[in-house]
Amino acid sequence: MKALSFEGTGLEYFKIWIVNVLLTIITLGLYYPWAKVRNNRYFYANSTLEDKNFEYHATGKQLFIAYLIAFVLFIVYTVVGKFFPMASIWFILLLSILIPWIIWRSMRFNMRMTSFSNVKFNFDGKLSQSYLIFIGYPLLFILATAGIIFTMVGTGNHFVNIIGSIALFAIYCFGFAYFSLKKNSYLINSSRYGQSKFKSNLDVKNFLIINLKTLALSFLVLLVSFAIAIGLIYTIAENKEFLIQITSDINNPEIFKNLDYSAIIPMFIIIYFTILFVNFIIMAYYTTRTRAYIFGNMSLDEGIKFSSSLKFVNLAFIIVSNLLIIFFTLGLAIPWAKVRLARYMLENTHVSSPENLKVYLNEKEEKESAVGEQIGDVFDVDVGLAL
Amino acid sequence: MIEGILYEIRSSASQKVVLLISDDTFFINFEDTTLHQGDISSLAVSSRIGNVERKITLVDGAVFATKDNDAVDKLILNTKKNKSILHHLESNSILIFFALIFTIVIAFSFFKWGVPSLSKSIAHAMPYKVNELISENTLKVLDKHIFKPSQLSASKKDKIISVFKSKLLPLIGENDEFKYQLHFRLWRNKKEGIANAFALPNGDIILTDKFVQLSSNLDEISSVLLHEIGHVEEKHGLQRLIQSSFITVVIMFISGDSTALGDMGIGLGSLFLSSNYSRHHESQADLFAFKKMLKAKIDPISFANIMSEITETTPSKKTEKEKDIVYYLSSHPNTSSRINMAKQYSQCFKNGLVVCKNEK
Repeated sequence: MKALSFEGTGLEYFKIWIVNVLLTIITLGLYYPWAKVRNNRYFYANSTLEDKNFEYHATGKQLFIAYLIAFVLFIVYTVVGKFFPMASIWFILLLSILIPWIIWRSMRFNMRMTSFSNVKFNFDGKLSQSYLIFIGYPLLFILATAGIIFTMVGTGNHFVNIIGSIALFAIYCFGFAYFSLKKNSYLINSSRYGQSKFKSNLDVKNFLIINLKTLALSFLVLLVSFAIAIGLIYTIAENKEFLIQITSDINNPEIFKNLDYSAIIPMFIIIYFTILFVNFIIMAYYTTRTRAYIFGNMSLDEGIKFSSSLKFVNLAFIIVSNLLIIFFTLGLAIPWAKVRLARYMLENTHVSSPENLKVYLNEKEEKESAVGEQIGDVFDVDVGLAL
Repeated sequence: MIEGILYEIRSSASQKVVLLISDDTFFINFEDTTLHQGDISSLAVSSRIGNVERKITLVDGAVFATKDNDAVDKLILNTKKNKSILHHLESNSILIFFALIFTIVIAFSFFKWGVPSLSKSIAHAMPYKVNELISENTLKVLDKHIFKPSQLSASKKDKIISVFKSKLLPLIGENDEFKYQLHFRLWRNKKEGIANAFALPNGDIILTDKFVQLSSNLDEISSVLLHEIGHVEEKHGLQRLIQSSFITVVIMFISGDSTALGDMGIGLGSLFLSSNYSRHHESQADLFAFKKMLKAKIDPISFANIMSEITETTPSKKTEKEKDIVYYLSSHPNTSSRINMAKQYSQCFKNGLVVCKNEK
């Protein structure tokens, strides 16, 4: 097993990043596609395995038209959302019908624009599969949930309620595990490197176990961090009477008149950060576990295996400290944070017998349009294969 | 001589080679045999980013890759007169420093002056219909969920309406596009009534019962009505929506692809920015009201009186430092500075002036 490595540095990337930000600002956003390409080229080319690196092949020109379309859509969406909040529901519905297509296009585009050691990746998944996974299954899940809730509300029987709650919990856990299984199998099994296919051998049971463990951890982390947060608030608040007042008398509007707002603001900040931290810690755990499971059970050409050695505590520490650094530098530390995370992720990704990668050939190339990919990028549609 | 590796066409198979330049011709040699040769101008060189590996694509599709970026720039690009401006920018520390300062200054000025003035021009360029569209259902929704019918006596309401129509509306000119209308509503939170007055972008002005009860004369009500008319005339409602659209789009650009962090930035950033813009609008509406009051021969001190009346019913005992923290998050300027401004205008009024010079 050989680990990947990241050869970029925070300072070097900072220079690229600040020039990107500057040019994007002074061109009123028109430079963004070129900025994105430069950014991706830097990260791809610095990701190496045994002295061979990845490469990002898309050009700014190629992304530009697609980006304009996506950007106009985004502005329309933002403006409609602000002016007529009710109308934006239709927009979101329309967008969610497009999501499977966006994911499918993004995967195709991004894979075809990526090469390692002069050989390109490819994605030949079917669009119908994408619709089944990203709309079909979620719809079934929603229908089942709604059905159970209506039955519970309709009968109002104590016994039915208990059975219903158990059924909801089961559907939630199983549904989510099944979705993860289908999604990851689809994304991996449709991916190719040169002439060879990636294969995965995943099952629902392991996703279910990961989900249950994540759930248990969430409860624990929530409990502990809110205990700490309340303790903090209690020590910071100089006027402790008012806290007691709030908790005992929350429904009485009179107390809000006499509230000491300067004590409330730190309180909100503490709660805000607590929620963020809890969120990131759980995310770090889930990423670590699913990545280890998925990487450990996929292969290229049968012979080449992968593994992930992320440590939950380390990843959580990196994510949370990155967040703090970015917050206190008003965003200027974003480049360092990104390099630090990329380095950690890559150094904990291993590939067996990389010397076998020497014999791969590129397939025929086709022209690619970036429309789906750019819409996905601008609207933050997460494709979700973590590397 | 540049050391690197050569990939065969469309293949991951590679070998260590050297690239030699002589005049306008290049040679790619493996040990003593020349594998490729040709004119330098036929080479496609990828642009330089930091110190990542450069790819030089030959005419037939074979790729020469090297980390010796400086040699590539010197030996190949110099002869092709094709220097990368971007890398030049990125590798010059002084330029980077200026880019950093420039970015901060532009970002700051954009949010400080650009967004408000752009929003203002856009709001004023929009057809009147938009103001109606965005306020269409607001009053209906408020009536259904929050407000109750006013319990004020008809004569009291009539008095206010007649002052509004005969004295205040003529101040803003005849060819005004807004159809101003007064609405009286009861707004209660449990037992206590809430004192408030606000305007919708189409010219609907809502006064709560508690507010009318708190005021001690019609001049005080007029001063607040003029403040609300100021908001409508300056199209502050529309401006606020445009401003928040701007903030969302621009922060998306700056945060780029870091989603969770971007969301955090949007949340905190727009809170600070929108309350900043809102305070500015409040001061503008105050000034609008003061100027019109001088014209209508109403003493601007009425505004100060009603303001302090409202604040007295919501007492607070804060230190200066505490006020500062609250200030940056508050949607209104602090009351004492608004009252001071009213007093200045009142001074002008007492001196019989129609235009007050001590405007900030």
